[in-house]
Amino acid sequence: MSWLTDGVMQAVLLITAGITLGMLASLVVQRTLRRRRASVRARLDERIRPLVLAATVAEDDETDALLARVRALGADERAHVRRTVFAMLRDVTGEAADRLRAVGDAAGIVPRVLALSEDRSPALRADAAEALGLLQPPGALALLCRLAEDPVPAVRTVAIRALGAYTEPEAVERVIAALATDSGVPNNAAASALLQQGLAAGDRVRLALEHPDAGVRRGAARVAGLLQAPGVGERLVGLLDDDDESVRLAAIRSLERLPVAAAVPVLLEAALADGRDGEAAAATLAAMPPAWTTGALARIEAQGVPAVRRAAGIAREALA
Amino acid sequence: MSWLHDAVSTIILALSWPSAIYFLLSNTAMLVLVLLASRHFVRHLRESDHTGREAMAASPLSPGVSVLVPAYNEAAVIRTSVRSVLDLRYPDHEVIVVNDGSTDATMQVLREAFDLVPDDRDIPGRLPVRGEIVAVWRSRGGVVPLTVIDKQNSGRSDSVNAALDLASKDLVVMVDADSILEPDALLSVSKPFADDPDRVVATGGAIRIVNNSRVLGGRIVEIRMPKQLIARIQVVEYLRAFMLGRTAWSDLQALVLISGAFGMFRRDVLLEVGGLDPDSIGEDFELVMRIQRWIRDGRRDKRVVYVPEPVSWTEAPSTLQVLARQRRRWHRGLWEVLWKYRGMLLRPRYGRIGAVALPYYWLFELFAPLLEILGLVLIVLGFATGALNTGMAVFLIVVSYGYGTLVTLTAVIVEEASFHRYERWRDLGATLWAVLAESLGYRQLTAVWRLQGWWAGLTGRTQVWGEMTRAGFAGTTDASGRAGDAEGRG
Repeated sequence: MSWLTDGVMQAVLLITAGITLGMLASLVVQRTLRRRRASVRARLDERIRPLVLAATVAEDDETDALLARVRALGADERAHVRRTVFAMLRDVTGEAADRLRAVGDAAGIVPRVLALSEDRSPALRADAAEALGLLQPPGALALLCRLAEDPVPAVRTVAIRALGAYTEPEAVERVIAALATDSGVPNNAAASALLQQGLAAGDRVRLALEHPDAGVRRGAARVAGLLQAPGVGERLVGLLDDDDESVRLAAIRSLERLPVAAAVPVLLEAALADGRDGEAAAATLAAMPPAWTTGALARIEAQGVPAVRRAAGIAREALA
Repeated sequence: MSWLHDAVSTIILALSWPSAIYFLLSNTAMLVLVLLASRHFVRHLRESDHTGREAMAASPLSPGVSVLVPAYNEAAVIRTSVRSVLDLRYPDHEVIVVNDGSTDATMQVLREAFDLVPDDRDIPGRLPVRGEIVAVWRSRGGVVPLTVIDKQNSGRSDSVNAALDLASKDLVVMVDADSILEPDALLSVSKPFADDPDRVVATGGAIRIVNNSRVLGGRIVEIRMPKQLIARIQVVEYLRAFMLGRTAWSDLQALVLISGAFGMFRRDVLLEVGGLDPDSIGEDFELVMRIQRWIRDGRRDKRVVYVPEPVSWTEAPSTLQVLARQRRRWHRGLWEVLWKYRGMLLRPRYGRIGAVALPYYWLFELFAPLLEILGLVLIVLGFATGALNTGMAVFLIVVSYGYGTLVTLTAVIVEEASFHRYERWRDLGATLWAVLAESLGYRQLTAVWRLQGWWAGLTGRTQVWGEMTRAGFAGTTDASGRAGDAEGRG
């Protein structure tokens, strides 16, 4: 231990003390800065929020004057208007949303968003994608389609989610492509966007049920029952013996909302096989019109395992 | 006494360097985990505006969740607790409460509060349940997605298994009846499943300490640091070892422990591995180890993920007696699980679990209290006999406690930069005092308790859960029951 001299020990202690002081200072600085930012925002909020709200609910003859006031604001204040409009647009629809977009326009939000869509930072490109979905300025669809092919999956995901607000064929096409297994976009996010596109996506959903990629079939099957698009019921029945378990399960659950008589024999077979699909199949049968399913439910009652009987809503007393 | 001096000198000479290296490695390993977690948080915060949580909250496509709530003598809080779980923001969830043979009015409160009627459907029986099921209830007309199982007392794990057997959704989450849940808890913890449904099989959420925070109607309305120093120290301990440590293990794809107080699992996987082991003291740890072994043995491309966002708040022990009981139990559980799964240690087949996580838990968790106590005894003996070089003693203390304190301080900085849940200046002061105080008696005491727990495990003594008298949450009714058990092991 000859190297462990008083000098070395003093140095170790001094370095430790220095690091500790630095860390404590960093804590205090972080907290002070955060509080200062919050306080600046709160002050801006006090002035800006009433103006944005007034412009959103104003009568037509007052709107121009209020928008002129927004245009006359300083750079920091207009930036705050943009943040406020952006946050409010997530919760507002209809005419109020249109007026909010006008307020955002007056604060220069669109040029800012367009610039951000080409920024090097993925987080800012994702911001831009979300804003394009909410603001829907001219040319937004093309930009979103481009962002839906961004190299960063998180940006693609936000862009696909934003495309849910568009019903144009190219938007539907992009969203369906994002259902593919290797798209890097969560299947749930793409399927939710497809659902948001509504019946505009109906035809493409029907075709997607026969897509070679299991992810596309699964996403389409999950949405099909909720969309109730014409002609999808029979195709869903076709998916009940799909090779992919998750596709089968999605089809079974969709049929609960979109009953098809032809599905009953296949569902009964699945229920009695007691695989992972068994309970779902039994629940779907229980939700179908009794006229189709009386015989099937009787067979489940007699031959089904308890979990499947429970899913079919069969009472214990009935067994006796 | 020269022989004692010589003997102690020899031992100190032989052990001083290995001890110094051990503590250096132990603290450095924790520092690396904290830094890895901070990298995760930076990414997480950058993307937090675009998680899609709102879309998920509104989407009928979000995976269904069964919330399993075992309850034993929770009459005072059960109504609020179930109501708050039912009110969680999620598009499709059901609640299954198990009254585990309560001797108070838990069952009566549930029946009256939720207008329960007998559920006469079959009980699947896919999992063996030891406690006899007396009856199953559900809300009249299925208006409220609530099922209540009334069964004989058989413990928490068996109760969870009973609930799991009746669960009908794709995902199941276990929560304690006395936990306070964040409104978005289910959204946060189910998100990895929604994003990657084929691979994610289990997720765990961050548990935080609720002592002294203001709770109204089953929701936290003001977050404050606990009043007692012992609970404050646990706050920083949870932060460092549980929240940051597990985030890092998750990023390394080597997470072996998620808290039983808020763990979400794919129901089919949980059924396939057989549910919770009712004989295990560290049942949450045992379950995740079993799932990890199932993944590796079957060469499955599956993942266990930790979500660092706070999802559940629990009351931590505020007396030494209860804390001692908790730590003895945790360490005993740690020993029993590590021993049970010793075959996975250093086996290439088990990847990072066998090569990194398990060696870490053996070396720096299981053996830590033994080496810590041994080191302290040697230092005291060394001073008493004059055998100890003062420089070496200071060096050892700086390496073990000083370095450890700096690591904890780093964890506090990461929390300040990320979630910063304790906003008052006085809470920051209390946190810093707790960081310092952890090394001044708390660590040494917990080391002794952990050793006792290990010894109890080695000698096969019967484990008693014990009762904890709760201080109760500010603004709520006091309650008592099995508590302070939300987490387990680092």
